[in-house]
Amino acid sequence: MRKFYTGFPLDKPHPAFKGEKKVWEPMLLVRIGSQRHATSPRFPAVVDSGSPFCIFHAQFGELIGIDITKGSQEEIGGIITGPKDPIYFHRIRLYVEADWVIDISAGFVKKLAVPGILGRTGFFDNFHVHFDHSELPPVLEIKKIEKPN
Amino acid sequence: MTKDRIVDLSELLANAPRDCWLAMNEEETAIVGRGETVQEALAEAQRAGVKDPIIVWSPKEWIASVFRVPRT
Repeated sequence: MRKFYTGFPLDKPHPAFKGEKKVWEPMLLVRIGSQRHATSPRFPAVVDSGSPFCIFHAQFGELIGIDITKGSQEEIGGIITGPKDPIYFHRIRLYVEADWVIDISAGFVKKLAVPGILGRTGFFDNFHVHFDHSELPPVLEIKKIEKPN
Repeated sequence: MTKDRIVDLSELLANAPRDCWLAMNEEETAIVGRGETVQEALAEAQRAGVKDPIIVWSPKEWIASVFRVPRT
């Protein structure tokens, strides 16, 4: 599947790239589901190889009935500001665009500044991902990795 | 499969309420709900008759990073 990056506003153009009034970001529309088959509304999640795993805002987990703080806990830093914050992991079902459904372990964070992040474990180990910045807007291409059961 | 449609939310979100969750219609062309929580934005969208809204976070300021103004 090929999909153009999504355009988001820029309130103040970056001083190094004057004139830009928008930023293009590699986003996929996803929803998450619980083992009880409750599903969240759709939301855009950024495809980010810099993230070690998939992370979602805790509110989406709570919406599908997950008791967030009962998951295995670690601390996370770097993608949130301020001190480290707890991240709680749960098994979820991830619906990617209208094309794929995969079961993964994902983290939930209360301070996340975006609805979701599709990271290396959970997403990049399930999809071949190609970022093409040769045109504007850039294009994201993903292909499901077929694994033997 | 190619998603031919370019989704450019820059104008829509630049003029939308800030520091809250927003719900967009299925076509991603209009804001149909807002709230302090995802649940509030979702409920407002559903009251507006949008069955499958798309939820986004609208920060206080849109800057060139996916890690915009974090929620605390």
